[in-house]
Amino acid sequence: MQEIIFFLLVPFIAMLYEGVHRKISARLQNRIGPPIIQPFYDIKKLIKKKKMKTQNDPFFRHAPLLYFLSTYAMFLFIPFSLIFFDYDFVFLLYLTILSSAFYVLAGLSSDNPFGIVGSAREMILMIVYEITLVIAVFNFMIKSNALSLINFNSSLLLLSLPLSCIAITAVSIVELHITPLDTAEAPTEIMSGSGTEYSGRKLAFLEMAKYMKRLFFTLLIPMFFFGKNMTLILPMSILMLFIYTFTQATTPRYRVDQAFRVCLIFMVLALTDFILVMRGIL
Amino acid sequence: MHDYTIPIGPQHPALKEPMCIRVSLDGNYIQDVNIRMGYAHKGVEGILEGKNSDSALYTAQRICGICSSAHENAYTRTVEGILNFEIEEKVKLMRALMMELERIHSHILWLGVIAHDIGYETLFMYFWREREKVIDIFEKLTGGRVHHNFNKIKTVRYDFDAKDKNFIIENLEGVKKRVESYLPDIRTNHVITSRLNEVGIIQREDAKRFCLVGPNSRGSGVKSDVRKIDPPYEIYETFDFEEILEDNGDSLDRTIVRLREVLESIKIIKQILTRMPEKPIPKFSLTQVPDGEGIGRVEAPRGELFYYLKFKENKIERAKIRTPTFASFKIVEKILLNREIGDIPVIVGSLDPCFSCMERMIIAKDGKIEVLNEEQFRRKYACKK
Repeated sequence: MQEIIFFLLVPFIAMLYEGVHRKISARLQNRIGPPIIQPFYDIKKLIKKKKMKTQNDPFFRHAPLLYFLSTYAMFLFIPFSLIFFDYDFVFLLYLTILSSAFYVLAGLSSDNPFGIVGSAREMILMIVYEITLVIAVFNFMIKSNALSLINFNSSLLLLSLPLSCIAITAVSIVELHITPLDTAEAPTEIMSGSGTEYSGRKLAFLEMAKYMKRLFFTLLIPMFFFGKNMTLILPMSILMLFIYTFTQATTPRYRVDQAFRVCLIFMVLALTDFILVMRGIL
Repeated sequence: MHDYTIPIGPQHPALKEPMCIRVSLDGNYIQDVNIRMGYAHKGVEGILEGKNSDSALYTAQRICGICSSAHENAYTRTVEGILNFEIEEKVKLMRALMMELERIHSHILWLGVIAHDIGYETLFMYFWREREKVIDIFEKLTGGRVHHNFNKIKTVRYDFDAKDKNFIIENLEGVKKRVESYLPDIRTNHVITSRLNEVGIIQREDAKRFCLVGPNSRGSGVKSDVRKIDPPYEIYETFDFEEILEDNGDSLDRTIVRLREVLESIKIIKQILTRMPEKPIPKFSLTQVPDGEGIGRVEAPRGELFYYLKFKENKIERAKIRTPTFASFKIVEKILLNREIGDIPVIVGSLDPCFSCMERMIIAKDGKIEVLNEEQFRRKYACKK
């Protein structure tokens, strides 16, 4: 029962996390910051806005909703397994890539030069970070000897697979558009990348999906690091949120070629771990 | 053939004032740059014409929002040059005090902006926190936080209160401590150096050829400080300070030049405060300016600011203002080539453009360039008096 309640509350928890993120970020930057429930007001305002039909492209109209839904579907597996079957983590990985792909599609179909550049950058980085994510998750699953996420019961993989842990944290930073690797969204360079052309309800879906993705990674990473212990995951997820905020506040942004090179380093880390795990050394 | 063209501006988060840079991209690299300006054109020279010497001062100080003191200082110096009037030492010291405070304010503001351009929001906020201290000093001295209305012809508006001395020193010590701690960070932080180092390189010859002034040229190792080149103006020859020069001419060097100049300005202000005389400032009276012309120049935060004024019947007949960043726009086209889109905010930002004071009228209709003499120009374009 609590699983279903959590699943229904996910959008609201995600918004609350965003509010906390903004508040911490503001305090780190010596500002007062908005109230914690500010994202609720933002989303409410966006949903109430009048519909603007700027383009007839069906991808343009539906990509934000699909992005939102594919992100929401990831919570069927994390943190509680509402659905489970053999190799469901492969399906979860498929969903994360799919949601990124819809984000790229949203930018490409918007016919805005900044949207196209943002999507192009996202695609350049996707080549590296999605593969790194896949390798890292495989490392964790092979190490824990589980076929399904519901059977995942190893704890403290942080100690036995440190390289994969670094890699997956870096991937989450790219995926969530956090500096230093938020090149795909860089507001001072290309407005806000793929989302430039969107407004109203579509923008609300895009924003909600981003908030939910952040919540997803703050739950996924502690699960891999410390095991599937619900009493531990929630405080750890708040700690992850703080780490993300702190990273965002303390680093400037890499250019796209530099970001690509940095991501390659993490891919090499994950691959090293993969080889070690497969050979049975770790 | 280019893959696509992207308009940066007139409204864009990287630009603080309106301008339009259309870049044509081949893949990810810039192949062609087309700059369009004129969005902030106010016709300042036209507005100045026909005003008398006292009321034109108010227009002059509103030309720029950041270096308003520099504009009024340059204006009053020009008028005093026409009058052949030597101002008192206290007035000189107080004007120098305002100029140096304004330099600190402008540089710190700019450092925040460049941090924002490379995505470093926290450093942006931290720099602007320091700027707040300088603005507090302005408020204490003049009552105004942004526009100060400080200068008058032959004198200044507000006298210096000796009680403020401690407040100024205290605030500036805070700024100094912070800036000194940021300086090694900016030199060594990997992400900052990878974004700024060897980006937007201006060669020494180019800096001379394109007539760059101020920190932009000093970053390329060209001496251009009006406070130092001969003859040093007003009272600056008596101060002990250094002209900051860096060699590489990239964005990082321009950043470091500005950071170090903040420290030099603090040094100058301390010398000013120890030398400030106790006697009151001279009283203000309306001035009659004889027919004639004159020039005046000061070292504004962004470089040399040049005024030319021609008076007839106590009214300005012709005004010409050359603002520091006016020259830096031709070079943008050159240094942006073969860079990425991500470098545009850094390169444009590192030149510290100030459009509100530098926009001038450029006549280029259908690609034809008109050459007009003064009378033809007036008949065709100048506003009615």
